[in-house]
Amino acid sequence: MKANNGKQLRQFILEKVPTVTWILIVMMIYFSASNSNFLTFANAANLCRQGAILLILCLGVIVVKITGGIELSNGAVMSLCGMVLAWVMVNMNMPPYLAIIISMLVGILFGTLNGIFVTFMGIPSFVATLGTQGIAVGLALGMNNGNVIGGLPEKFSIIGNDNFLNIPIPLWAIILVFILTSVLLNKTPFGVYVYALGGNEEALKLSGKPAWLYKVLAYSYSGLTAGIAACILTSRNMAAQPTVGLGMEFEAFAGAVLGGSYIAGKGTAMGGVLGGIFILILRNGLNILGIPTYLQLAIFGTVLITAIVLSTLVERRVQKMRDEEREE
Amino acid sequence: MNKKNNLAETEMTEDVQLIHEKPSIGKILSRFSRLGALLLLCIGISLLNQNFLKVSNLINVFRQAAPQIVISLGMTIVFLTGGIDLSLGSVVTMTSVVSGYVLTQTELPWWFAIIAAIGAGALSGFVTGQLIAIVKLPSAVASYGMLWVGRGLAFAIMGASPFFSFPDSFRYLGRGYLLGIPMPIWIVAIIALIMGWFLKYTTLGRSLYAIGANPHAARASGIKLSRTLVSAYIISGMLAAIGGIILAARLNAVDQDMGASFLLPAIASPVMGGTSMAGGQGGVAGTIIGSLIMIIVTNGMNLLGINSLWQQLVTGIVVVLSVWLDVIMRKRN
Amino acid sequence: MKGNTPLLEMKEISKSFPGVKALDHVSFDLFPGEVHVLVGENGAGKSTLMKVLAGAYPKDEGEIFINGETQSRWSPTAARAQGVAMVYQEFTLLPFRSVAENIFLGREKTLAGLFLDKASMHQEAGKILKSIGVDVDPRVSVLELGVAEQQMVEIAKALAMDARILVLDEPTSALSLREIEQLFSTVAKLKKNGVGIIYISHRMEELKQIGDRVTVMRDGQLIGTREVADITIDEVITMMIGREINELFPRHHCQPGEVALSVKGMKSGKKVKNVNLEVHFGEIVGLSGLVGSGRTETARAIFGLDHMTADDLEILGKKYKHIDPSLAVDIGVGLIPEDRRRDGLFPILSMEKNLVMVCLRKIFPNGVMKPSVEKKTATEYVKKFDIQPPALDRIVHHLSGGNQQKVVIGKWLAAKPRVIIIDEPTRGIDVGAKSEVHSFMDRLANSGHAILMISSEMPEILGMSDRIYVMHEGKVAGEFPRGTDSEEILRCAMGVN
Repeated sequence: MKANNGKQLRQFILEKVPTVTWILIVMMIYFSASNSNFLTFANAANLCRQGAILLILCLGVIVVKITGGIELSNGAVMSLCGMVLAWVMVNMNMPPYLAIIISMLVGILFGTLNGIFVTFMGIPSFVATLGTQGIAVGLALGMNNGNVIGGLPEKFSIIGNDNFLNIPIPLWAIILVFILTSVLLNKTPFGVYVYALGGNEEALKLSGKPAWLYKVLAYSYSGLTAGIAACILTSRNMAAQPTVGLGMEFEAFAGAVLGGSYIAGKGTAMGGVLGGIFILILRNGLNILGIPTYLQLAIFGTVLITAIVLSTLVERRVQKMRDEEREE
Repeated sequence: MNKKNNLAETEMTEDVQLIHEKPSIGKILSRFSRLGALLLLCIGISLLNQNFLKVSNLINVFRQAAPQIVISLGMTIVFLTGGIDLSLGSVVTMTSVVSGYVLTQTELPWWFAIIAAIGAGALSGFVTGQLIAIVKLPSAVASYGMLWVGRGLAFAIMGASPFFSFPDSFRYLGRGYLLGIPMPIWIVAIIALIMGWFLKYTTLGRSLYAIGANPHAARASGIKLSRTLVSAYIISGMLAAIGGIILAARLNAVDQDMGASFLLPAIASPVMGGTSMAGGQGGVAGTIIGSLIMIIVTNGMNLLGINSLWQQLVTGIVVVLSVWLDVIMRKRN
Repeated sequence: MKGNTPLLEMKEISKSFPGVKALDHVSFDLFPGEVHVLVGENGAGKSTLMKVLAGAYPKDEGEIFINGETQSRWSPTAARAQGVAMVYQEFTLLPFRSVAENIFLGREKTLAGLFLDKASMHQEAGKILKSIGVDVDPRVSVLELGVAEQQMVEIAKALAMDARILVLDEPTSALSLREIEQLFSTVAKLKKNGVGIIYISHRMEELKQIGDRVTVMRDGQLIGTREVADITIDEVITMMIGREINELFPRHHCQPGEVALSVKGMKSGKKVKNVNLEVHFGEIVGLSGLVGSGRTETARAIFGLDHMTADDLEILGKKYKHIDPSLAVDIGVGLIPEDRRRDGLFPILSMEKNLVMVCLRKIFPNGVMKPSVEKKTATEYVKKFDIQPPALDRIVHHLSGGNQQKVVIGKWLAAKPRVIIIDEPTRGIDVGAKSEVHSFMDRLANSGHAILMISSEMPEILGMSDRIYVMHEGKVAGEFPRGTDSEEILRCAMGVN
């Protein structure tokens, strides 16, 4: 009986709750103990606004990650979507709502491109998405000679800066994308196939389903999130800058990996969001502690690779414990 | 058949004549196709712009290509084992920042900067290799993490302002001439010879091919997997460092973004040169040709007056297409 | 209990592969509610027959009837639609997902065609599981289940597809006794529901326990189909062996020397439970046993490819606590592996590079290679083994199976090992190459090497070995001198006394 309780506790700590949650709690305690500004409402609201972009990207990346792929193009695709968005509004006088739709379509297009590279052309996902990154950056830079596009219609600033029912619109966007992602993953056959792609692609093929289609769709979905994030980012800055998203893909990748291990076939929307929040709080906490920007990246990278290694080792240990239990 | 069942005659005395197969025309063509592509490219561009074939431009092309070639050779080594090192670009940045730091912030001699940079590259490769060989992370994940560690270290060392104005003896490596030939070209030549020798004539070099060709069989043949893998990443880190040194010496300054743009060409160059991403196939000569193709494409774009802002687009497309070609070639075999 | 129309009838099925007649006019039938056991030695044609049934191989001749209706077009899709389901040994389950999701993978129940109807999926899955007497919560993830339960989920998955003809291929090989009981009670339930089961097994005691009829195959031919109640296990074994050994084996026995390799109380993984064996210089020792008895794993453990523990491991007069492949190579042990594509060959490298791979460190101790020495070594072994074509630059991927095997053997002998473990020395190679490999082994032993040979082919074991160990379920179950007859060995391997 006691052993059984122990097992349940272990399952709760190590399996049911993403490991990142525990790290998150420790980190929050540390930051709030060392600086009283950390746990304030103003800081939380600020985090939300800043973090919307990252969390939305994380939710797309987690879907690709579950299929067993690595997505490194979304930062660049987001920049490109922003450029297109601004360009059609400024140069073609397109109304914002149409421009937003176009931004999402561009995102989906580039996501689908990734999917095609991976499925039909057999290119490993990290190379395919790096290639797409290059293509997107090149287009974003080339389309306006490397210049920022400004002078967006006044109305457009609503998305990034206003509230709806007292809640900032970016937060609404996070909530919507979160709900969409978790419904897709948990409540639809598509979700089952996404998990199947990562867990045992052969099983999916044996069941007679077009595995390639679902893989392409997973990448398209990640592209869509890049398109949505681009709208918020561009509206907040009221300008589109061609390289604004570079580096974002790393934070999104890190969030997705931390929220659900790098192992294919595993992960949840909640994990993706928690991983994203971890990154946000780490960045925010380092700022509040007054660590200079030029040191932050080094700490960031090191913490991240350590976290990946630790979560991998935990994962393996759990697997071993499970095997031993079964042997008995 | 009878002969073979008879024991006495299967004694090992019979003299078998070895066949030296003449490669078929198809094989010769495919072997030289890359060189051919390079030449065609050169001819094409020189037809469109006469400046291309001027000696001054060609020397310039080679000098520009030097860091690219060295870094691509590093990637080649990793490709041979069947892995990938996404951190190479940031290792270039990090090591050149290390050398910049030693040159401008300390009183140490200029050659110490070179040692420090190569040491830093080796260390970074060592860590990447350990993550792959011991922790057993996929090489893409491990090296992508190290990409940001390297970048972060570069930022941390540099602090707020870039390093510039290096001593002449250091700058000589990037700008100087020896016997009328630019130093970077000498360095590339020496490294290419060493790497060619290493891959062809050392047991470690051979083990790299073995691991890429079939890791299971390599282990079963008594090759020490972890040790060999780690040394591959160390070598690739050191080559990235040398690339960084040449770059820093030529530019006479280092900044935090200087290496990033080398990653994509470093993936494309070996693949275009016939080094398979799946491992076990390829070598130095192909990578040099592949790098030259990459450089000439961009140089040609400049000469033809295409805005350099489009360069990344072209590189991205070239990466995807060349890897695709590699996949197709492997399927056909 | 049997209906009059058989569920399945396969009539006069023939199937050839280049050079081999894998199935020669084999007929097989199955009634609803019946367990039909299919037995035969390795290579008898059982799995080819099942692949024809699953539609994976097209048949050359013969007809397939389902419920008395002839099937003109037979393909994997048609087989599935007609209710044929295979339960594979390698599971096709998603480890991190729930049992219900696995059972309905690809045929999810939905609401409005969009959303998963989890409630009804759980309910349905529960019903199916209950119908086969399995007490597993459909919500729990597959990862939490034991091997037997995973197998039950596989069976449930097949039933959810309305399978009426279920093929269980060696289902008990990975199960414990308790789990086997669980499986058998499931099989009993299936029978009651009118499902026909084709049961492939090597375990004779199971035949008596759950079989209704048994069909024996040998060399691609049908030997006979009998009621289990009317036949003894001895008779089944005699039917399986049947022929006299009439191949000639070039084994010239010689006096064995000192002990070269001695293993006591070795354990490794799940399959090697307690192995004791000894090999002397000048001796070929055969290691026999059925598929899954742990022979190959024993070889891998001795060579250090898999993690192992042993009470005592002595090689060439020295005791070792741990061993890994590179140490094994250094002290003079060689393993010519069973799966040569996976563990032996570097398919995209040239013959020369393959041949010198193991001896690299021996012939170039300072790490620098001399092309002339490399070439000389490779040439020596090309000549010794008469590898065709004798072209050093040839990529080994393009060689024939026999020549590939010679390259693998050559690469090992180039390292000059004194103890040679050779796993399935002649699998997949033609007759000529086979007898060449056998003469090499004979010469090697007589020139003072110690050889441990693993083989599934009874004639090879009998013809080549000076002594024979037989493994059964991870243990060495018996040791026999040269000249023992095949029946005695097969009995020992099957655990029949």
